[in-house]
Amino acid sequence: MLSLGAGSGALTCGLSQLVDIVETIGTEADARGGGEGLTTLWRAVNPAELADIEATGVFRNLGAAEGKYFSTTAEGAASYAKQAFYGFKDPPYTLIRTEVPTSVLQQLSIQVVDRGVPAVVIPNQALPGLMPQILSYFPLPSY
Amino acid sequence: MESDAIIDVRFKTPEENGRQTAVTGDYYSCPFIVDGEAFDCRLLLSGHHLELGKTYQVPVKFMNWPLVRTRLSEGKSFILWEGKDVATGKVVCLEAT
Repeated sequence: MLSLGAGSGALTCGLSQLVDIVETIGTEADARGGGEGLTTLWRAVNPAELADIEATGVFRNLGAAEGKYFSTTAEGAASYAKQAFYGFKDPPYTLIRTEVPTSVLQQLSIQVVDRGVPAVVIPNQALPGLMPQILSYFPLPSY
Repeated sequence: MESDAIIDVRFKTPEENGRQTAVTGDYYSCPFIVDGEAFDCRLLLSGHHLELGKTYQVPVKFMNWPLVRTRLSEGKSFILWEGKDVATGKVVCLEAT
């Protein structure tokens, strides 16, 4: 790998927004079932991540990203699992469901990937506030 | 895993509202945005570190190569997304397929 150069710039940091997201998820996790609305998120996990969730009961980031990617639809997660299975030759995936406060989701950007996977990134610091639920099925993806 | 393309990529620094830490591991997965459309990809790092603010030449594998290949050509600009734009770069070349 070849280093070709370096540069820098000066833009604002989104740290305060990140703190808001982490605090909101933590509060909602403590008060689950309270008044504020929750939104379901979905994630397709590989066997290694599934084993980690089964062992720890939480989402932990095992990769290089500074957050975890979730889909806002079950079909999106299913589409990712199908495409990753064929495209990356990954082992079969398992569908995981969790919930986040709707107010948190409204602070995050959603990016549609590969035409059918609406994706959102939950920062690592907020992951302990999420409760993963392992499912035994996938919906059929449209793509 | 065989790559589909070679790219020049530079991750933004924290001062640029980029990542907080260098990119490490065997590979780095993220959406690759070109012409406003996003496609999942993996940067094949083979254990190399990508320091923030520096430019590297890296092989990349796409999840759905037929979907993205027609949009890529030498010199094409792209963005890597991790909940926000974390890197920019240009396509160096496409692998022969």
